[in-house]
Amino acid sequence: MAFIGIHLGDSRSFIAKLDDRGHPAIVSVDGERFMASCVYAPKADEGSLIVGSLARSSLDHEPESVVQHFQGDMGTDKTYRLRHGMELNPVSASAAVIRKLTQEASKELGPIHEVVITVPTYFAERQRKATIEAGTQAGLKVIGIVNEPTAAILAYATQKTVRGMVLIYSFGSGRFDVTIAKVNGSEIECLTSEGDSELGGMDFDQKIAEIIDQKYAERFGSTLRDALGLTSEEDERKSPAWQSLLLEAEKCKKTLSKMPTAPFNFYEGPDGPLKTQVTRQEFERAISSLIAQTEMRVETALDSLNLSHDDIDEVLLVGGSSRVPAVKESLRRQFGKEPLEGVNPDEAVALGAAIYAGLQTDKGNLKPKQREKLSKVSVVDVANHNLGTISVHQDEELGSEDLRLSIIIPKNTPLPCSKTKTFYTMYEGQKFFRCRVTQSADEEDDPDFVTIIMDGELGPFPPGRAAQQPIEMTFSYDLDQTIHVRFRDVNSGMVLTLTPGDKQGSITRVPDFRIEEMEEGRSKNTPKEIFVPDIRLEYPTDL
Amino acid sequence: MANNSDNSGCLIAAGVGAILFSFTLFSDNGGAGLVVLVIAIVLIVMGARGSGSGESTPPAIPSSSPLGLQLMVSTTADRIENQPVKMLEFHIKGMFSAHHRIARPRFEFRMADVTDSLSAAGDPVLCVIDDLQDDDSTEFRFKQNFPDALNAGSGSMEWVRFVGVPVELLGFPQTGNRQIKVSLKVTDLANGQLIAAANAIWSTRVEGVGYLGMEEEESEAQAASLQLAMCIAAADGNVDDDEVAVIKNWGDKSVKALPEARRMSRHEALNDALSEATREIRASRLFQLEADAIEVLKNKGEPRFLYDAYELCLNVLKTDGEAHPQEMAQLTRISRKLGLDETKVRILTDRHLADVEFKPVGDASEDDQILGVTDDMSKEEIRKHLNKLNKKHQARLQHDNPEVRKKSKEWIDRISKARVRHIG
Repeated sequence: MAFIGIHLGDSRSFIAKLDDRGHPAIVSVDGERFMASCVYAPKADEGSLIVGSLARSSLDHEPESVVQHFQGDMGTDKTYRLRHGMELNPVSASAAVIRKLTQEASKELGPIHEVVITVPTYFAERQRKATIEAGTQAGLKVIGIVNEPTAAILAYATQKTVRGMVLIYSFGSGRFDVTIAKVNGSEIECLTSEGDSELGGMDFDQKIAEIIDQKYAERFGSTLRDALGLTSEEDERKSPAWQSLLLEAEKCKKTLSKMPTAPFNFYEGPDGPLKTQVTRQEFERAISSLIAQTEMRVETALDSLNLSHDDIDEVLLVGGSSRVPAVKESLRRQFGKEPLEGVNPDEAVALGAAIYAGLQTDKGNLKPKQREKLSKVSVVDVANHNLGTISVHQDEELGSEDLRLSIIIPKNTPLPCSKTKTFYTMYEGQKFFRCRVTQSADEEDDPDFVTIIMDGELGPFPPGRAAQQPIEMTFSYDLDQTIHVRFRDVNSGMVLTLTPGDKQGSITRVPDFRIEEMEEGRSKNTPKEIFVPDIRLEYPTDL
Repeated sequence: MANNSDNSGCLIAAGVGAILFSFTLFSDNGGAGLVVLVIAIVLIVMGARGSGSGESTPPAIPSSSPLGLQLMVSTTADRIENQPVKMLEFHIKGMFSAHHRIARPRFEFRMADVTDSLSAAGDPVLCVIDDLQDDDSTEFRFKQNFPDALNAGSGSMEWVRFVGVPVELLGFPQTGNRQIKVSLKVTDLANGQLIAAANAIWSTRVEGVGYLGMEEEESEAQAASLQLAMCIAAADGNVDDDEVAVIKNWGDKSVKALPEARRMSRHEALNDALSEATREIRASRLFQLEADAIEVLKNKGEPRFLYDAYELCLNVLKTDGEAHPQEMAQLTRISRKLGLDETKVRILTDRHLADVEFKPVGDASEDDQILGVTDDMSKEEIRKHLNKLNKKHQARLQHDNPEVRKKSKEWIDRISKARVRHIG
């Protein structure tokens, strides 16, 4: 039986197996150690979906037939309308990638039935569920979902000697994660994660594209965007010229990781070819705010555990973007030490997922050597989100009743966990009790800004009951961050259990402004002379 | 004697469930279980002549007179929605209108503290319930047309419980042992002429701060609130007509809410405050003015004053339909210095600024203002502050609503750039 781990990456995906001795190993796909997470939909009569580097190479001439970077859209109802009338969604595109990976690997390993799939830590319930759905669509049983940084440290800790507080710095093409774990040999205890979907290596490519866009304007008088008539991200996605600029930008980024300058030749501009170069200095200036963003995430993770940079014993790099010199330099500056080396930062996640597959399977399935190797391995992960509910808060001073968030399982609680909290009905004769489950990455106290992942009603209660009837809410997280909730009316014994996706509605009001975001700010622009008219109140004359 | 004892009328729970009106006839031997605390009866029967006649001191008529109108005040313990409530009850008895054949008599009750008042009429007792207020002020004034239960022209020889008011809904002028004069006038609705009147004195002990004591505090708080509002109005360098209108309107309303006798002093106090604010702002002492006003409000220690002031500031800010970064920063500074609860502030702010357009920020210094980064913050303070903001918006990147995600992305971009500028 094969134990398979899949690293479903935003730009590249990997598949790994656990060998007979219990060591993880990458399985090649199309002769390469990775596969581009890219799907090309040909014309209906030209066969089925094409996945991988071949699909990616179609980007610069047929971008409207290609889907990539769909992982960020997981759990949304986004649809990609492709050129030949084909429609894909994030789940079906992911399923295509998973299917291709397992099909290729089964040539070497025989039929594959069960897999572990990795996800970014920031993935909430709906995104994890969508990932499992993608695996199922690919005809597989998903026996575990594991966080990418957890998988990476698992791969590292089982192959190298590492001890103490480890910061796993995971910088992929479409995500950024900081995880802090306590490691003792093969025993891993994750303590916290700070993840981000809006930051990744593609943003670096985008910055280079913008540098070139400016250089194009200096040379030809108008930016490339203007020359191509691109006004939206969607225009850019569909423009072959812009897509080929991004592909060139990625190459340029890789060159700049090794050289102080990189030549940049661009032939697709409507005004003529542009032959120029990008210096590392230009690049680093352009990405400085992105680097600042990563530093803030590191600090937030440290702060949440009351740790300082000095408390971190080792820094482990994961993901291709961690190769950018400015990233390494930023880490050196923050921690005053060199990051750990030894495991390929791209492959570590898939390798860890294969180990995790061995841990998740029934022990009887393991070969003796595998069992021996894995017997020492233990992983404790933590809840990556605050799980809570929305309750009514009565304020006597304002005379108002407003909705407040009550956190029931706080972020960073070790998994598995289960907590019960009692709430009360508000009115005499109350018939129903609204049961909402919220998930949030920060301790948002504002129900408008959290995601309601489940929503239901408990009831109808027996008529004529007094107010203040106790309702017990029991929330639990499984090992793989799956959520279970149970609402119980104590006096009648009535129970409501909800599963993710049970939703009757959600709050849609979105105020676009929050005052607490502005701290002490002294107006620097107060003009010296202020016009003030004389103001006199009028004495009431209506009597 | 209990001839009319089944004349109990309707029981109406009104408003917040706190007021009970009822007409209950009960016998002299105390069948209804009321505890009569104080009785003082002055009874008159007057000819229906000039309308001014009610103001003159009426001749006392013995309570036993079958022709007089008598008023009795008592307190009882009642329960409303299962909560114990101390009720003040008014009872009447008498054959007041027999020889006038009045078709439409109207009863009107007032209350005033006459313990040591300078004016003969005393300081009025206020009431928080609209239905029990004077038309033009918050003074207690209960008006009731002659109930059908009573026979016009014959009245009642029994005590009639006329009305009950929860004591805690009354506002007394001063604290301690007080003499409250309750007066009843009966007028003819048809021609407005006074037919009968009766007074009673109710001795009671008032707990807490009387409104006269509070009024002084309120006057100072309102003055400071107006000054604070002037600071907000002046922040953009120009106090325009709309802003003036909002400020004036608030001041006018504050004065008008008072009983007439005390309007003048409040009117003057608030006008003085406005003149002072105008002077200070013209002399470029805006910050000092703001700091002083905040100090005054804070010293009052009464949350109602603080939130009223903040709400006025919001109203001034939104007059032009726009919120500029420096205005928002100023508002935040004020709310913090007043020590307001963040959640309540947010609720108020959301409610008021829902339709306001938030002006985008252009350059770095504006970015700093919107982020709340100031010159006097240390590098470490800026770092922590930005991290906190960043964490919040990072969390929102996962929100269901794409608009929220988009806005958070903009915030994060702004925060990251500020970090590069300040921390490097």
